[in-house]
Amino acid sequence: MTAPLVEAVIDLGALDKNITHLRRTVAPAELMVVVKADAYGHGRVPVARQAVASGIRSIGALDLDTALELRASGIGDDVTVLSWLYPPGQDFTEAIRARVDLGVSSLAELAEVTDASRRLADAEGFVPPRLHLKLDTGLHRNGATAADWPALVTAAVAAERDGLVRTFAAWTHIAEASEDEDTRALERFLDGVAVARELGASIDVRHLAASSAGLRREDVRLDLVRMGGHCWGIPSFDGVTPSDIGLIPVMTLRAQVLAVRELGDEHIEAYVSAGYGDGVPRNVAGTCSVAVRGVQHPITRVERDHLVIAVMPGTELAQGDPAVLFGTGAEGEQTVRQWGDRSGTLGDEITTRIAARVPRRYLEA
Amino acid sequence: MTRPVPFRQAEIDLEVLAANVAQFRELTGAPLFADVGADAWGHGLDVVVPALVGLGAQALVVARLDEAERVRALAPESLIVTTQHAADDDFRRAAQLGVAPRVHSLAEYERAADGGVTGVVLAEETGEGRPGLAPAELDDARADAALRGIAAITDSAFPVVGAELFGVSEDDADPAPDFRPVMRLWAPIAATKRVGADEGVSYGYTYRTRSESTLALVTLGYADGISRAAGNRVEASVGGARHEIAGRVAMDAFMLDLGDVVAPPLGTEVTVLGDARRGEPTAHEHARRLGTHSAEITTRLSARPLRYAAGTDTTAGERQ
Repeated sequence: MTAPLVEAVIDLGALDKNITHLRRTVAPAELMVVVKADAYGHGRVPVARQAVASGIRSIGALDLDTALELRASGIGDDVTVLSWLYPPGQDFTEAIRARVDLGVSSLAELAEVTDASRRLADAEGFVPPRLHLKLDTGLHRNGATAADWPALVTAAVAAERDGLVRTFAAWTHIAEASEDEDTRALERFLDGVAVARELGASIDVRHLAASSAGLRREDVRLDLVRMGGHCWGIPSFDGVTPSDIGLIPVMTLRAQVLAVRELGDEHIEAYVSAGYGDGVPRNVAGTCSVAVRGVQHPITRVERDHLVIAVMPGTELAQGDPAVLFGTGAEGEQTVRQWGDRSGTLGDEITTRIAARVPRRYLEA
Repeated sequence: MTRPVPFRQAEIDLEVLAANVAQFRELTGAPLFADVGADAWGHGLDVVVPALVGLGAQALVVARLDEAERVRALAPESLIVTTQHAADDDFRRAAQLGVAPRVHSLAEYERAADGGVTGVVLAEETGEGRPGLAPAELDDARADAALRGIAAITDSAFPVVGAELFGVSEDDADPAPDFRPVMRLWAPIAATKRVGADEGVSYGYTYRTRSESTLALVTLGYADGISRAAGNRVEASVGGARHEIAGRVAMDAFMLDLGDVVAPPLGTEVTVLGDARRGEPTAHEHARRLGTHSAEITTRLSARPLRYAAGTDTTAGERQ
């Protein structure tokens, strides 16, 4: 068995600890673990299974492909799986059969859902899908505008009376532009919930906050908080390390030293077996480092299949040495949050874009 | 699972690929040793490899054995070369797959030969690039290979062509017009909405509308490989008209401000990477605005957009 040239090691024990910590923090609100985008590169199915083992009963899936895959992988009906982004013309039949909760933003989407429900209504075991009606509180992506909201709710309530859907939840995304903006979004949302209930919707669950506001602000947690980044130990607001907020980075990106070259003038460079074809951004050259034998060596160039580091003077390394690109810091490496900060993005973008070419290895909790 | 309707789409035009191969042959007269590493620079091995075999590629080059295994399944008869091997690789798997490794030292050559490979590419020490075999070592390796019946060629006899075949480049220069973009990355408009003037759009409100406007939600985000930094910087085209991405690119979607117009129908195609001849933004242009090269743009697209050959029915497509 040879050592992999590159691998993303996913510590499910760290994930378990993060989830436990976050659940306690947001309680009595429920924690939804969001596994969209392949759980930000961590692997949707193993992450969702661990989340369920850690006590989670709500999973955010984004799209129906992901939601149905989770159901097929054994995530049962006792766990809510929420989907909310669809291509125009989506057929909801399979989703309703699989008891996927459906985010609905518009009358057009609602019509597609009720069409599918009507076709299934006479089938044995039909359960009306639970809707999460989405209000736009300022982000202006999906979600009904305040002007369109009453019509959407009214149509959903009518469909509920026909036994086709349940008006289970209301939700929104917030822009996180500033605390004041988020407070205004919260007010608009609570107004929208009041309107919906007046129009006859039950709205058993209200959810608005994600990782950042959900950890910082008690007032935005409502009944449920949706988190991705924080579950994988990536702080989603500025000025803190993962440990400052009780989190452990879950992904460690590992490679190995392929070759060492002496350039004269005592300058030494080394080749490491991870490149932009593995998802390492080219712009980490000059900003981030790779740890070998506990020492951080600056990245000077990123090619498709490898990157080049300037070996720190007075240190030693050799072909075959393990190299750690980012992780917890336990082996002297930077965290993915630091990689994000230094290369002008979020740690979330870095892990999400680690390529499918990189094998994932799971450490069981 | 079948995909009933387009969601995130990477259309691969095999006629353009064929034209690029013809152009490469015209310009160089060289055999076609094609680098299809990193999922064929993001274009998708499943679509690209059978096409290149059909176009007479004499060798397919990838970095690692995992990739070689996928290529072998698509190209049972082709010469496959790998370029990157672990320091303790015993090369038995390479031998089983019928892969010829490119080796960078005499010790690596010996491990490969002992592992049972039937062909090797010998990297030559150039003094500037990556480590290779010095002239005396090359002679030793060649002599040993001859004794063992291993086909051995040197780098200089094995010139590899890569990104240009797909119309992208690791240089800052635009490969067009010699080499045309093979990929068109697009997604449908999934939602539209009317908003007033001076409304913030997407996370952080880094974009504000100038007038009453129609906003369009497009289902491509940084999880598909559109950089988060592309917001307010790169363009997309809708029916030939260009619009800069409005506000931050989110994980799964970006927004366009179409201006004070009637909303286009849902499902209208929005192209992010395409061909300038159709008025679309190119990977080259996209890369220039992000301070990188076009090969990084296509290569760092994720597996999520569906790769399919132009002219084929995507409804039967399998998600990768």
